[in-house]
Amino acid sequence: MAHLTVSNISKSFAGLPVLVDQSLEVREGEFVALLGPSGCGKSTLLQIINGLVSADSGRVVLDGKDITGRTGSGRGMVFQGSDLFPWRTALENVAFGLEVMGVSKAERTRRAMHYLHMVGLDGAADKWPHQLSGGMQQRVGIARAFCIQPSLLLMDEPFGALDVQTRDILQDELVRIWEAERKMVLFVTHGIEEALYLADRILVFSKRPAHVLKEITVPFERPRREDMKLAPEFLELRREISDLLRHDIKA
Amino acid sequence: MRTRSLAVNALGILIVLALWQVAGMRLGEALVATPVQAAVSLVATLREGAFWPALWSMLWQMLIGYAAALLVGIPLGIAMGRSNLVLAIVKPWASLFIVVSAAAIVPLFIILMGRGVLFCTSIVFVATVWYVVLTMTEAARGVSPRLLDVARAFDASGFQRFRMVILPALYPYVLIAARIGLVHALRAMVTAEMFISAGFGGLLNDAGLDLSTAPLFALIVMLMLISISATGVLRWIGHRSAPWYRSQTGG
Ligand SMILES: Nc1ncnc2c1ncn2[C@@H]1O[C@H](COP(=O)(O)OP(=O)(O)O)[C@@H](O)[C@H]1O
Ligand SMILES: [Mg+2]
Repeated sequence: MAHLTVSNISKSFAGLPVLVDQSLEVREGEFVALLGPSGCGKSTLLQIINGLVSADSGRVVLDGKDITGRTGSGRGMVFQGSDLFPWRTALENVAFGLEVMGVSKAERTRRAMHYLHMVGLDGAADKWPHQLSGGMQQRVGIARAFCIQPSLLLMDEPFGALDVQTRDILQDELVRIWEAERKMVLFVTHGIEEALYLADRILVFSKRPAHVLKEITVPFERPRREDMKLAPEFLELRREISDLLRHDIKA
Repeated sequence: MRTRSLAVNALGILIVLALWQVAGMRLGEALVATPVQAAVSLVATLREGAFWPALWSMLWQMLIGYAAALLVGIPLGIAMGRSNLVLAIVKPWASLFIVVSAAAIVPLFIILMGRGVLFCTSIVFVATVWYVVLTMTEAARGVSPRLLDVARAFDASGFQRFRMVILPALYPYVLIAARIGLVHALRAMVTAEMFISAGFGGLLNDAGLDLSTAPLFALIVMLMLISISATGVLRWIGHRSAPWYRSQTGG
């Protein structure tokens, strides 16, 4: 049974506390959004879970295994700027994780093609990243994370650098892909609408040092549709979260 | 776009040649031979028995020293860029040696190793290696930490990060270092040969004694052509083999 337990994480940078005693859980097949003002410590928390940053204290347990301070094993990461390797074609970028694992070339090409297809980029397999638009680059970034079939997907403001139209399209794509291959997702964002549209559950964080102001279970059915963003219930929740964050910033 | 920049280049060359012609006609052949006189002299030089062996002996000795400089300089530069310890040990020496021109060390090297192949290749090596080292050091320090983090997130080992991120990121810079090194190697080789009056440098010495400056200009033009075509070939190889790099720098 897939499960993520993060317990009592604390982290300071040069005496500046960013996270104090933070805990969270993600259940099998659950999409959790981490929402909070920029600079509050969301990325730091995600990178601690990912193993890229070491925590001062606390534990990260994935599927029963203590993975505190270690990278790899079961986690896939989508980065904000997509951060593709410019010297690798789209296909080779998607296959990167498998190459690290030592999967044979034929096998990793086959699997990478599958995920490129899933993000709608069949035709772009041999293109260099610089030949792709920002939206296409991020699709490759998503395919790269899915390709290692992680049990937990970590996404740090993956659509933050995209224009609004492209972002809306990619949100829908992500929901579609995720519904086909449901895994645990931790999705960092500072967009309230984005969090409501994508997540099953939202953890609303305070300003730094980040702590959870409120945990919201998103009541909307899946599959989600664009027009949902105009429903009164959606707007109501959106306003509530917005007030919560504004109040915290002023406090 | 490309044809246009070629046309502009050609125009620039024509203007310089015209100015040179005017200057030559005013100052006389003993001071400044005209391009027409230089061209006539160039044809005569190319027909002379002494020219081709001199050119050949210069080129192969230079290539040995140059190849040695690349072989030592590239790994050393990468090591300096990636390890603060190596940087701290080597950098002071590199900064010291790089300011010493080939001409300054020639007398010492003649005393140490005579006037043979060892002398010429050593001069070339010493005059070239530090430019290669410092170019590669800067390049290696500039390897994107974000991309290294991506590799780490996919659980790439230290060696895998070196092979799959650092080396490909540095590949275009190897060709740039080769280009910079080549210019210095050629220059050092000619300097060395002029001191011992051998090979191409010897021809330059002899031409300097001539009443007309035309043969001297002919040899200098020849040297420029060699340098320009060799660096051009290296640049072409770079653009062909790393198309993603050119797009990044807009070069
Ligand atoms: N490597 C670091 N060194 C020093 N300070 C850092 C480092 N990483 C993050 N911080 C600081 O920690 C705080 C939280 O950063 P971050 O987790 O990136 O916030 P968020 O992702 O929520 O915008 C910020 O004030 C940032 O300046
Ligand atoms: Mg962030």
